[in-house]
Amino acid sequence: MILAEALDVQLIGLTGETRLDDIKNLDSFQVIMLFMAIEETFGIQFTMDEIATMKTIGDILNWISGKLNR
Amino acid sequence: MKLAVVSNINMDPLKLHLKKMNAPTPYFCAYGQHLLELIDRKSALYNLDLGTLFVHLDAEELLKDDFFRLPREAQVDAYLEELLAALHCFCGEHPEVSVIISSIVLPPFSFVSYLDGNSDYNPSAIEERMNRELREFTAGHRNVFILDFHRLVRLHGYRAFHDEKYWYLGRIKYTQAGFKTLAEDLASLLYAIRGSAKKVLVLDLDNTLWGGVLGEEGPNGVRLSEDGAGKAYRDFQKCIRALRSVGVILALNSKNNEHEVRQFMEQSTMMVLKYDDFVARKINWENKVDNLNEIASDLNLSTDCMVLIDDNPAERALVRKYLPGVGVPEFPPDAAMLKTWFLSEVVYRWFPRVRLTKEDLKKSEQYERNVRRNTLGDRLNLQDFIASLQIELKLIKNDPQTVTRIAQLTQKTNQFNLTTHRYTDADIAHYMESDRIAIYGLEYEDKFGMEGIVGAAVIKCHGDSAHISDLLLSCRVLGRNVEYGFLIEMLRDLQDSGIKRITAEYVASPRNVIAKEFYANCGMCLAGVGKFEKDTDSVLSHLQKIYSNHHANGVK
Repeated sequence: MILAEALDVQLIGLTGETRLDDIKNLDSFQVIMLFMAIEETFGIQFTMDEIATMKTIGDILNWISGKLNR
Repeated sequence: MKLAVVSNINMDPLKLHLKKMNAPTPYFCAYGQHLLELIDRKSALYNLDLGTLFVHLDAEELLKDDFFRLPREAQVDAYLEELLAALHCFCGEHPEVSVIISSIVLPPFSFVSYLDGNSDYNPSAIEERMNRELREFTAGHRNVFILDFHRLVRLHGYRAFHDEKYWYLGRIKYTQAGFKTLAEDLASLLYAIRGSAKKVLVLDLDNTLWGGVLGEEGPNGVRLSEDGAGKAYRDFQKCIRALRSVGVILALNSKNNEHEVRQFMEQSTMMVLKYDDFVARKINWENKVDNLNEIASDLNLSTDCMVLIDDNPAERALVRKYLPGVGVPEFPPDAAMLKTWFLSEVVYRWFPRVRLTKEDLKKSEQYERNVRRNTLGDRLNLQDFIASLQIELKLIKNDPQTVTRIAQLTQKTNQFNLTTHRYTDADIAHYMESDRIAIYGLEYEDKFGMEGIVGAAVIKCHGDSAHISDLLLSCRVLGRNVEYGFLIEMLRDLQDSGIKRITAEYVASPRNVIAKEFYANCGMCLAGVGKFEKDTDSVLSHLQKIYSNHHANGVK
């Protein structure tokens, strides 16, 4: 999973509703690294504003499939 | 020994890429605090067991708001001067730490665009000036090396290297591709500084040095010419020839008929590499792993110093599995990529260097002579053989011109190395300046030619007693009693300086078991585990009895 690989973070009990702010041991720097890894892995690009709207895991997943389906 | 990274931008992403390459996790100084950490003796930098310091300044960030103003000379240079003064301070306190500093790269834009290229506003002119200052700094400090950041940015292009979005979101200046390239280059440079580069390049033939299979398509069917794919292979051979000329040994490992290969290589007008450019040739139908082991034994080297280039993925997988110490790069699927692939994936990755000695330039000839010497040795008995070589040894003491070669020897010599301490140029130069320490080099010449410096020793004196801290001899001259000749000459010199007692030690390492009995063979007495001592006179007379047939030109 991209999260684990990009950040060395343990994936326990994450759901679509989990807020990024609430994930333990995930600081803002790591969130940036996560987005960079997502863009590279899926070959998509987010704008700064789009990233600003993503608060939960579910938000991210929706954006990814949106970009992929375009 | 740790790696510390000092920068004015966030370099944390380097950590991930270094980890993927199995390189050690660095310590990162809080970004923005670089000058403080360099000067403050209480900072972490001074208190870590530091091996290497990497200083990476992002020039655009260094300028801060001056980037939006026309930068006046004094301001831009002032930033660099501040850093170099802080670094100078640090280097003074830690001469044993290798310092790597990135060259200065400014964004390729100017608010006055095409204004006269020589003006102060031109980013290239400013870069040139700052990099010249950096080069002058490294010339004055033996342990400082420049990482050519400009080269890396050029490889990707400024746009692909820099990340505007993540800079504004989280102060991450470069893309992942940029950080990856930087991490790889840093690792290769470290590899080069430590003298760990590989020594031998082993090559396949079919679809590697030429297009097609010689045995199937015949000498007129293979692609090696001045057009298209044939030219790509010719250029590839030219790359390999260039690497050979700076001291890399070439060998062949190919499934082919030897006489067919020899005939083709000698008769083709399109071959750039010659049959004799390869010091070892295994052209047979045996498996490539056995062949590599034989090449290692012929050259008296380990397979760990080899790199194999082979177009066949099955052969590559086989060697990676059974000889994990051999470097086996992937092979480009398109011959057009051979030249750039070779440069970035083979030269920089496996054969990087920060120095070039005159011994390096003649490496192939030296190894060839050695293979000839070893064949000669088979047919005569040992004493006759040694006498027939007409060996001449010359001792060189505390000569600054030998610093680089001697440091190189301490880094590369594994078998006849009594204590296996690894030293950098700075260490050896430092020892030479001390009254209490003598650095000896041994120059070797025989009837086949001059080998240059093949042995080194570090002797620490105290009153009328001398301790042999290091004694080593290149594997190329082993088996000829040269080690005894070396010790005799050194002891004579030490005796002249009033040394009455010698102490020495043997520290076991995975590969130096052949040196274990050396001091005992010299007539020294055991004084503890791996520790030896004896008075100088006794050792000399013992040695002279067992080793009576060497010539020497005394101490220079």
